Amino acid sequence: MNKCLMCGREIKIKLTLKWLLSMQHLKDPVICQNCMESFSKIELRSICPGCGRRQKERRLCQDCQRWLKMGEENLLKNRAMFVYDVVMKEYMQRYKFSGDYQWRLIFQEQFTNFIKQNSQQNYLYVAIPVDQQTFNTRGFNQVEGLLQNIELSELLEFQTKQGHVKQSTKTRKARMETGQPFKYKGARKLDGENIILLDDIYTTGRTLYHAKHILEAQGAGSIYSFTLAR
Amino acid sequence: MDKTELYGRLLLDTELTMELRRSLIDRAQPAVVQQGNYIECQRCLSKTRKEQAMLPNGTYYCPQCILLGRVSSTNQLYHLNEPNLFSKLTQTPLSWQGQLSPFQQNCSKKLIKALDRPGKYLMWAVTGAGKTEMLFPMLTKALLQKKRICLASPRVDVCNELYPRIVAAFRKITPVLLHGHSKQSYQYSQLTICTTHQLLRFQHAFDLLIIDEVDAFPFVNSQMLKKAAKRAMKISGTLVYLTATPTKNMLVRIKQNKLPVSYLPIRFHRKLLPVPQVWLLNHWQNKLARKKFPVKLTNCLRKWSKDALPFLVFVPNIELLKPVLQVLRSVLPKNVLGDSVYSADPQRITKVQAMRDHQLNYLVTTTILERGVTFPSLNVMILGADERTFSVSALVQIAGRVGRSQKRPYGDVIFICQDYVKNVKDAVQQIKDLNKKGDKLLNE
Ligand SMILES: [Zn+2]
Ligand SMILES: [Zn+2]
Ligand SMILES: [Zn+2]
Repeated sequence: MNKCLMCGREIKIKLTLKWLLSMQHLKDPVICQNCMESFSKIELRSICPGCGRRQKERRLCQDCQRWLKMGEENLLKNRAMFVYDVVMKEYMQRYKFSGDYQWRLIFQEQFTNFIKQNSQQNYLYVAIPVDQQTFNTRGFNQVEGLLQNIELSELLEFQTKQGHVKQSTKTRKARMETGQPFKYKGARKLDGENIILLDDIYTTGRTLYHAKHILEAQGAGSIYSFTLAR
Repeated sequence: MDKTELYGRLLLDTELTMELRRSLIDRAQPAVVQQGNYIECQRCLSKTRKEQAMLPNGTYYCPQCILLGRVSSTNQLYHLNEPNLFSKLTQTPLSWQGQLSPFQQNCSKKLIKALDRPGKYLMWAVTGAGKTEMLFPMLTKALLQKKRICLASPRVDVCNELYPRIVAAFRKITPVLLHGHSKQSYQYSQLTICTTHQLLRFQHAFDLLIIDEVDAFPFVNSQMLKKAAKRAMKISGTLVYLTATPTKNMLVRIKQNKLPVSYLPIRFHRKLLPVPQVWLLNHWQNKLARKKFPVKLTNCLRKWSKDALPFLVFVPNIELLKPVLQVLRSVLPKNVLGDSVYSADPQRITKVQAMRDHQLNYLVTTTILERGVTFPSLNVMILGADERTFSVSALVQIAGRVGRSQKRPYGDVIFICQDYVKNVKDAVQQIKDLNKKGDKLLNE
C-alpha cells in the first residue's frame, strides 16, 4: 500500500461508486481520498465566464469587468479546477516554494485530463515560464510539472532586464505593458494560431494577460487559459 | 552568526551566513551522494530512488526531510565538532524545591546510574507518574559534569509543555527550544529542548539524549528520525527513552535483557489508574446517522455536564467530528459549551487553551489529544474504541488523561464498542496489570 504524500497515512481505496467513477481513468492515487476532498473543486456551471472564479451566478466578476475597462477586447475565459483557498495555498507552498517536486503527481493526471477534456483541437499549448534564477534554484517549472504528455510550444521566455521607458512617453497600449515580464521566443511570427495558456494559479490575471499581449502582438488567433487554481 | 552555532550541528550552506560559509569553505561536505540507482541524503541519511529525486534541471533533491528546508545536490553540509564549551558550575543548577516520592526517587537513582554508561535506557512510568520531575536529579548531575543534553519529543505540544518547566527548574541554565513553529532562534546551549525532527540538524552533539513519548507518531515508525537520534548523540552518549506505553519491540528487548529499564507503575498521588468501562453498543453509528445518540450515552454525558466536569469525546476519524459535535450540542443543555479539534485544525492551540481555561466544557477530538495534555478532573469517552485507529497504546494513553490531579485522582473512562476487539481487551488488561504492580508496590 502506498502512503499518502500529504498526510502520511496508508491509502485505502474505498470502493464507493463516486470514487470509482472519478478515478476510473487514473493510476494509483498518491494521496488519500480524505486529503483529496480537502481541496474545493470548482463546478463549471457557476463561475465567472471571464476568469473561472467560483461564484453564485454565471456573470462577469469585478476583476474581469476591470480588464474590459482597461481595453481588453477578449477575455481569457480562464477555466480553473480548484478554488485557491487555504488548502490550495498550503499545497503551493509545499510544491512550489519548498520545491517538493513529487507533489506534482497529486494533480498531474487530473489537471492534464481537465485541460484535454475542455479544449478543442488545433490549439497550441503554451506554459507560463519561470525566470532563469527561479528555475536554477527550484530546479523545475511548476506549471510543466503539472502536465503529462501535453506537447508544449515554447513561445514565451522571461526578459532579461531592459532599458526603462519613461511612463509619460508611452501610449495607452504601452502603459498597459508596464512590468511586462515576457518576450517572444518563437522562431517565426504567428499566423492566426489559436493558443491555450497554462498556469498554476490565476490570481489577478495580470501574468496571463501579459502573456496574451505578447502572443497577440505576434499574430496569434484566439487565446484562452487554464489554471489549476483560481 | 558565529561558529559556536555549528558546534555539534549539521547545517546546509543556505542556513549559514555568507561570512561563516566563507571561513569554513574547506569543511563543506556534499549534501547528496549518488549510489547506483539511489541518492543518499547526507542530512537525513534516507535513500531515494533517482527517478523520484531527480529534478528537470538535472539535480537531485531529498523528498524525505523537506520539512526542514530542501536538501539538493547543489547544497553542501557544514559541521564542527562538539567541544562542550560550557561554563563550569560551582553549585547545583537545580532551583526546583519539590520533593520526589520514595518511588520516584528509586527510579531517579537508576537513571543517574545510566548516565555513566553509554547505550540505551528506558524509563517506563505510567501516565501521571511525574516523569519530568524524576529526570531532575539526572539532569543536574549531567549539567555539573559539563555534559551537553537534549530533551526531545515527537510531539510539539510535549516540547512546549516541557520547556517552561525546565526553565523554572534550572534557572541558572538558558535552554533553547526548537521546533517548526518556535520563534526562538538557535543559540549554543548546554540544554536543548526540541522535536525529534530538529535532531536532523545535529551530529555527535549530545552526551545525553532523552526522548519523551518515544512511542508517539511520527518517531515510532520513522527510520529517518531514529537514525537522526542516533547520529545526534556522541558515540559514547546515553540515550534515555521515556514512555507510559512501550512498543512491542521494546517489550521484547526488555524481556531479552537487551534494554535496561526502570519501571514506575504508580502515579505521583499514589492512586491507581482508572480502569476503563467497556460498553458494547451495537447501533451507535446508525443512531448518529439519524442525528441521535443512544440513551445510555446521552444520560452519561448529561450527568458529567451536571457535575460540571470537563470531558473529552474521542472519535476514530475526522469525518465523525462534526456529526458528533452536532448531536452533543442538541442533547446537552445550552450552557454546556463544546467544540471539535483535530491535528491540522488551525485553531487547535486556542481551543485546547479554552478548554484549560474552562471556557469550554468539552472537546470532540481525534487521537491528537491522546497524550501531552492534562486537564484536571477530566472524564473521557471513546466512540468506536474498537476501530483500528485506536492502538493499544492510544487507548492506554487516553485512559491515562483521567484522574491526574491530587484533588480528583479518579474519574470515568468509557470505551464505546460494537465488538470487544483485541486492542480493547489488551488495553484494559494492560491497565489492570499496571494497577496490580502498583498495588503491590503500595503494600510493600
Ligand atoms: Zn492523506
Ligand atoms: Zn472573472
Ligand atoms: Zn534528506
